[in-house]
Amino acid sequence: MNPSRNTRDRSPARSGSPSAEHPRACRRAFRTLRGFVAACLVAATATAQDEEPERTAPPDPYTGGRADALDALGYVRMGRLTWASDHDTARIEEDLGKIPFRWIETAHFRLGCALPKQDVPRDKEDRKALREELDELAQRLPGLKPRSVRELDPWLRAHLFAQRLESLYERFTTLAGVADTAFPAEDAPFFRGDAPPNQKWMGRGPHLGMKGKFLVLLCPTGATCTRYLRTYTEALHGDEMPSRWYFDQADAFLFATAPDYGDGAFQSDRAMHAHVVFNVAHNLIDAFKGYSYEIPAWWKEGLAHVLRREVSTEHNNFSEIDENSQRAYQTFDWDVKVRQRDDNGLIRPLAEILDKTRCTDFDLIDHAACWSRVSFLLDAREPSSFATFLDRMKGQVDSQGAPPDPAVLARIQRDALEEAFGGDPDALDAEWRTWMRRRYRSR
Amino acid sequence: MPIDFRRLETSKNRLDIDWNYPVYAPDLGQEKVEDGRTTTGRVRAALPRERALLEIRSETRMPLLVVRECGFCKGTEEALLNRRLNNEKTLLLTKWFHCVKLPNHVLDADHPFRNLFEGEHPPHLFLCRHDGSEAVAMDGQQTQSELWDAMLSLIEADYEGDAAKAVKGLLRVLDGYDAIDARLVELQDRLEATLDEDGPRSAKAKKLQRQVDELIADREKLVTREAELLDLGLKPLGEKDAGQAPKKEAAARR
Repeated sequence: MNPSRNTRDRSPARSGSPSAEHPRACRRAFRTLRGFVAACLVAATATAQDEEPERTAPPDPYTGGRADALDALGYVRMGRLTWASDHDTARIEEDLGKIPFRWIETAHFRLGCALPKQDVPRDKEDRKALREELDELAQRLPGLKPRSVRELDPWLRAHLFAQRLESLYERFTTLAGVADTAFPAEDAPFFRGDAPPNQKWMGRGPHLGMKGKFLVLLCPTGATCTRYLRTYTEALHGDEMPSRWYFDQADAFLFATAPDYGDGAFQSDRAMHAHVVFNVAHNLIDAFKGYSYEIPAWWKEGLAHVLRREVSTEHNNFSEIDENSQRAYQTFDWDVKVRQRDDNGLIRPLAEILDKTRCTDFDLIDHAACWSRVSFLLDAREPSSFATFLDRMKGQVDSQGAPPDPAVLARIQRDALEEAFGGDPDALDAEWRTWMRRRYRSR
Repeated sequence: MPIDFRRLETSKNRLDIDWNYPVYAPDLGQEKVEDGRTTTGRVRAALPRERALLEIRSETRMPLLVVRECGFCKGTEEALLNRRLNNEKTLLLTKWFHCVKLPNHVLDADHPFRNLFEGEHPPHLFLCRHDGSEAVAMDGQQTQSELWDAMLSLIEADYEGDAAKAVKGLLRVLDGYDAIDARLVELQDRLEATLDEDGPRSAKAKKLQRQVDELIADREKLVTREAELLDLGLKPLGEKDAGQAPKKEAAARR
C-alpha cells in the first residue's frame, strides 16, 4: 500500500485545483502539443503531478501503529511528541502549515521526517547500500519486503532514517567506549557541586549527557525548514541553510535540513543520509558529557568526516569552509589529495590548527587532512585510545559547572593527546605522515 | 566549445531572493511544554488585514512583495518567475522589496494572515507599499511586463533613485562577476595542478597566485559598485505616511 495515496485533508478554502491557480502552466503545456492525443496524455500527467499535497501524514502502513511493531523497531512512540521547551510537534505542524511530518521517537532521537517519496537509486553502489539497510530494517519490520521495494515512500524513508540515527548513535558510543548507563538518569541532580566527591562529570542527563533527546527535523522544502529555524531558533543570520542548534532550556540538540538546500545537493537519499550523519555526528560530539564549551575543530570536524565517509565518500559536507569554488564539493579522492599536498609540504602542521574551535579558514585540504589525521588515530591505536581522548576533552567543567578558559583547554588537549596517543602534536604529525604514505596512493 | 549563458557562482548568489518567512507566534516562549501535554489548545484566529501587514512588513518601510505557496509551486518561485523567460530583471527588482513567503495553509479561515488574501479568488501574490496602500494583486499567471510595471511603480513611490537604470547597471556588474569567476575557476584549477606538480615555490605557481589575487581585487571593486547601485535611498516619510505607521508589536518571527 502506498501511504501517499491515502485521504488528504482538503479545506474548503483550498478547494480550487492547483491547475486552476496556474492556467499559464496549462496553456504552456497545450501550446506545445500538436495533436489531441498528445494533449490528453500531457493533461493526464499534469493532473497526476499537480495533486494536492498531503497536509497530514497518513497512518503508517508498516506498523499500523501497533505497540508490538513499535517495540520490535525499538521505538518509544510515534505521533505527537514533545520537542523543545516551548514547542511540540503539534505546534510545529500548525505553525509551519500542516506539513505531513512522520514523528518517531526512538531510544535516543526524536525524528520529524517529511521527505518526499523517491525511487530506489539506479546507481549500483547506492542501490546495494540501500538494500543492505532495507534488509536490516526488515528483520525488525516483518511487513517490509526489501526485494520488492521499488520506491522509498515517505513512511519508509522515515523508518530508514530512524534506523540510521540509532546506528550512528551506536557507532559513536562504541568509539567513545561508553554505555547509556554511564550518564546521569533523567531525574538526577545535574550541578557538579551536587555530585559526590571525585565522581566524573558526565553531563546533565541520560542522552550522552544531555537531558533531552537528539532532535532531527527533515523538512520537505527549504522554505519550511527556514520557517521553522527562524521561528523557533536563532540559528539563521542571513543565508538559508541546514542548521544545528542547541535548545538550552530543553538541553537538547537539533539538526534541521531539507533536500533543496545547497542548490538541491541533498535530493538523493544517499546524499541526505551522508548529510544527516555528518551533522548529527557533530551534535553527538558536542553533547557528549554535556555542552559547556567549544572544542577544537580539527578532530571534531575530522571525526564527522570519518563517519560521513563511512556512508559515502561522495557528498562532501563541511561545517565551514574557506573555498568559493565547486572544487570542495566535487573532489572525493581526499586520500590522494592529502598525500600530494603533503609531498609538497603544503599541509598545515597540526600544531598550527590545534586549538582553533572554528574552521572558518579551513580549505578543502585542511578538511581532508583533519579527516586523515582522525582516521590515523582510529586506525593506528587501540580503540580505547580514542575513547580516552574523548573522555579527557569533554566534560572538563569545574565544581560549579563552569567551563575551562581557552588556555586551560589548550593544555588539557596537549595532555590528552599525550595520554591517549602517546605523543605531542609534532610527533603525532610525523607518525601520521608515515602512516599516510603507507596507506594512500600518490596519485 | 559551446557558449554557456548560465550565470556563475557570484552572480547566482546575487540573484537569490531574500525571503522572509513570518510565523505569527506571540505566545511562543510563554509556556513550557511538559511531556504528555501539547500547546495546541490556543485559539487561532485571522488577524485584521492591517494588523497582519504590521506583522509581516519590515522595519525599513520597504514596499512588500508577498507570495503564498501552493500545492503546484511546492516551495518554488513558480508564481513569480517564468520558467521560459529570463527572470534576472524580476530577481534584481526584488532587492528593493521586503519579500515575504507564506505557507499554503494561509488560506485556512483561522490562519492569522488569512486576511492578507481576501476575496473569493484570493491572489497568489501581491505587491504594496509598506502601509498596505497601492496594493497590486496577481494570480500567478501575470505577464512579466505586468509584474515589472507594478514593481517599478512601487519602487518609484518609495525610493529616491531610478530602479530601471540601476537594474541595467547591476546586469553589467553580474556580467563582470561572470567574467571574473570564469577566469578564476580556470586559474585556480591550473594553480591546484601546479601546486601538486611543482610545489608552491615554483615560478609558475607564484605567477598564477598573483593573477588569482588580482582577479579577487577586481571582484571587490565590483562589490563596491554593486552596493552603490543597490542604494536607491528610501524617501523620507511624508506627513500622511507618518500618521499611518503605528508602532509594530513584534510578535511574528521572521
